[in-house]
Amino acid sequence: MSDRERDDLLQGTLDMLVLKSLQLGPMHGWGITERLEQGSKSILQIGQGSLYPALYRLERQRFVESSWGTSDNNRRARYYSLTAAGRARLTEERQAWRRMARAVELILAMD
Amino acid sequence: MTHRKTWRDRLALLTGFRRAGEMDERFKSEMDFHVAMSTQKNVRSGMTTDEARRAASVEFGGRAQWREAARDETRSRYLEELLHDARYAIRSLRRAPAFTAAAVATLALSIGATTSIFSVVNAALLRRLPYANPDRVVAVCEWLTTKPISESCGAGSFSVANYVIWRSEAKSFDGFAAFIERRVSVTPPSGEPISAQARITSAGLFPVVGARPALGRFFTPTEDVQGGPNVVVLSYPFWKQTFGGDSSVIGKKVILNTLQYEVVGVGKQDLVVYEPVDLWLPARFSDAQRTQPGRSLRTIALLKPGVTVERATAEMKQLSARRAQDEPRYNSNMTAYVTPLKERLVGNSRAVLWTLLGAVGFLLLIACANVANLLLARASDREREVAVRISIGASPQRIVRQLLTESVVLSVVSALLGFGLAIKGTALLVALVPSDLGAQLPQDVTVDWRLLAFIAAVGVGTGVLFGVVPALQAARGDVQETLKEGGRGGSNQSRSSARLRSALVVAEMSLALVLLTGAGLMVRSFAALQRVDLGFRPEHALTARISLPGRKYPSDTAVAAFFKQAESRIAQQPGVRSVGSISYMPLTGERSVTGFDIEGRPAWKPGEGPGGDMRAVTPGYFATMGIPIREGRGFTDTDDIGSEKVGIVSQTLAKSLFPTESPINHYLLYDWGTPQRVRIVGVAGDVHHDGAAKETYMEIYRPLPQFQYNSMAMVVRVEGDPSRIATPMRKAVRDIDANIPLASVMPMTELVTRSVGSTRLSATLFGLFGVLGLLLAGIGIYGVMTYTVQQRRHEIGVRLALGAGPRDVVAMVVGRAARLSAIGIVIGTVLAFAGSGLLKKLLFGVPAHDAMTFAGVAIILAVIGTIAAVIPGLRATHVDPVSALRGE
Repeated sequence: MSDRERDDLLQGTLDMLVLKSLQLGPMHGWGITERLEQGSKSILQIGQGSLYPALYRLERQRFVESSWGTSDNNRRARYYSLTAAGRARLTEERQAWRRMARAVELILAMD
Repeated sequence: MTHRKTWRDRLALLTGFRRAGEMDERFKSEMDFHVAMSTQKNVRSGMTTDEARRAASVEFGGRAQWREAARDETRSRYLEELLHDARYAIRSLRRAPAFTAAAVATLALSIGATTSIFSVVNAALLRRLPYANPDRVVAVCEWLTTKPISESCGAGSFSVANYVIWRSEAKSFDGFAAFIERRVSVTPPSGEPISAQARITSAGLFPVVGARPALGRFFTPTEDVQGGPNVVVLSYPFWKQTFGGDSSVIGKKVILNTLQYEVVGVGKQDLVVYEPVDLWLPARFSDAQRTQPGRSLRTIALLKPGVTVERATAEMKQLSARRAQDEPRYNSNMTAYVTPLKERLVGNSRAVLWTLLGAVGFLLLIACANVANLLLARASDREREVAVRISIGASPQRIVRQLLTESVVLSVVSALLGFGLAIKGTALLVALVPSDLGAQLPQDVTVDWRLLAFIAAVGVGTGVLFGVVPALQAARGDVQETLKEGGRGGSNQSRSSARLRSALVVAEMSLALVLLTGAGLMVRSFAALQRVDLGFRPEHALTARISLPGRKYPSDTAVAAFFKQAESRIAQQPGVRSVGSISYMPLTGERSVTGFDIEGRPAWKPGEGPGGDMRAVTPGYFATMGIPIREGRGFTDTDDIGSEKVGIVSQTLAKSLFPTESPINHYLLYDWGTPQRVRIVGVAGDVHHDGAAKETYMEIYRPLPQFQYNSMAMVVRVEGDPSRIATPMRKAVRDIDANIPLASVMPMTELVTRSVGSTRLSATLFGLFGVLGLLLAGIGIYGVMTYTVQQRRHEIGVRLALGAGPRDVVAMVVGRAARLSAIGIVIGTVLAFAGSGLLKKLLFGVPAHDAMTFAGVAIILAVIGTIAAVIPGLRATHVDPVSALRGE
């Protein structure tokens, strides 16, 4: 397996988490990090250095779309929202993740 | 929050590109917002504003670095990924060289073959004639009402008298042209005389086809009159060859036979009516010609806009009926037919070409089935690989895209190779096409690019479809199930794919059988043609046509003297056994038929009697050709102009008109300008003048001095290689008259080869397709059985462990293959039986449902099917029961 495909795996996980957080409704980048942090009970701290590239990547893949909006404190912010393709992608990734997790669990449970 | 997409957003979505400046602005804005929010949070947790801002910025990390990463993501990676996938595809194809070679060869060969054949078919049958109004150009011919009209409607069947009358009377046409061909000797301003094919035509020919000259002009109706000027129009290739494409040729004089002609024009490359000719001369019909009864012209006409072929036919029939009343002696029982020229041109070759196209289409189907089979096999090999990759996180899309790329790479490489083959193949095929078909081919048969694209799409489509569908199945399938199977391949999709593959192999077998049956029938026809005794011995004989200009050799004595002298000079050359000449050489398609009566028997009504095939020969002809004299005598030098008029008839004439008595000393009566009374002095062996497949005719041979021809085909029998005599022969003729060239110089054997050309072509191509089809079907069986063995390793292991011998294992594998073969053979035989009737027209000496061919082909297929299964069968005996049972 090439390095590239290992990247795919890690990116795939972050992408899935971002998609999941947007399932709750459109949000700006800051809000997404907050949602992920709260959702994981602060176990996952998403570095902004990975979040924004992930967002742009997802936008390029047309899983999310973005537009300018106004935040709660009246600031201009870029809001991201899920597309139909993004929703479908999330479902797929979720299944893949569950398979993977089960597989890993099975292996770890070996004597 | 509103979201309105600007056109730039849409474009960005399409292309993945955004303006760099716009993106930078967005990064900055988003970063600022993020840092502000982060600072706010820090302040809430008790930091001072300064501290909070610093912490937020640190947390954010190196701005520049982050921005680079973000920018990378927004730039389109499409190309990069494509290249990556392509590299991956090439790597994985190279890891499976046997699969790759088989798939590429199969696709490339079939794409090349199909395109080549179709290009020729397209050029010959489908392309519109290169005329201004191709759909309005018709051929008009005269034919007997008492006999079914022949496909060619008698090449050269129009009388000058009728043409001249109808040219002015017929109202259906905008133009009506008549022509005839002659061999002439041409002496360019500088150079030796060469032999050229001239078409002597009425000036109307050019407007009928809507031709424009490449240089100068065509001759005009005012020049095409009795006593008109000596003008000549050159064909484009002749102009290029003989005059080096010199445009100052217009206005120059050339010597045609003995007279000076002025070159007035050069035709364009595509000015071809029927066969190509070297030059055009005005017909200038004389009053004497206008009253001659003979029929030797060909005519074409341009229908007036809106006039149908039926209406023109009705008018011509009416005109014919009037001529039959006015001049019953020559026109009774004759009528005129109008046919679209295109139909006339393709009439003979249509069957051959469509059949070949059908055959190559079958080959393409087999090839696609085979490629599908190979890809399915590969897909089931990879089921496990795909499952593993999905389970470790590769996205199904990514895998499908990679497999798709692989199929596309495979197909594109094949298509490129196929293009190359198509170009080579088309050129080869055009060279292979015999002259009787070739005459209808335009000079520039090229690969049809639209078709090439279509065929390539079929090939690529097959590759993609059968490469990706199983991959999608695998990607969607239950990964754990597949993994648990441990590659034993017993899952549902591999079982259904195995069924599909078996079906494909059965289809391949049956299609291959159909092709092989066609090939068998064609090869047997060819063999039967070769076995026919043509009635003469073509080996060690050279033939050449010698044409004497009428003005220089005006009298019968001069012509007879020339040929006598030429024959005796050639006979003296070392190695020459004998020499003879005939007006129309066998197998050239040239003949001249006239009605005749037998003295002492009631005369036939006009048009109802037999047609005698008239040929003038010199005394040495029969011996030189090896044609036996069955009864009476041959001709001698004493059968001269002044002596008694004598003739020799063929056995066919003798048998059909003198079944109970000898024809010797009977008199034949016929009208050839003047009434003739000819005593039969001999009976010659039958000759298949129009080829082995055609019947023998009622021949009437006359001695040259008594039956004048200015143009004779000479045949020289030699010891050893006949082509060696060409040069001495040319010199001998030139020594008598320096201006007489030799034309159509070739060994007799070549004439024979040409005469079976179209059967040879069909047999060769059908044979080739059949063998290729057989090979592909064999590969198909081999592939399926190899896969089956792999699938059943477990079962085979159990059997071996329980004491089964290697023989049982081989029998099991071969037995399964035999079942597939048997189904294929049965289906194929039914198809071939239903379809072989279509070949009937092309067959000779073998019935379309020839039992021997059908049985032989079935046996060949069964044998190949078995051989292809034996190898995987033997391999199965090497299965190690222990490891097979462990499932490794």
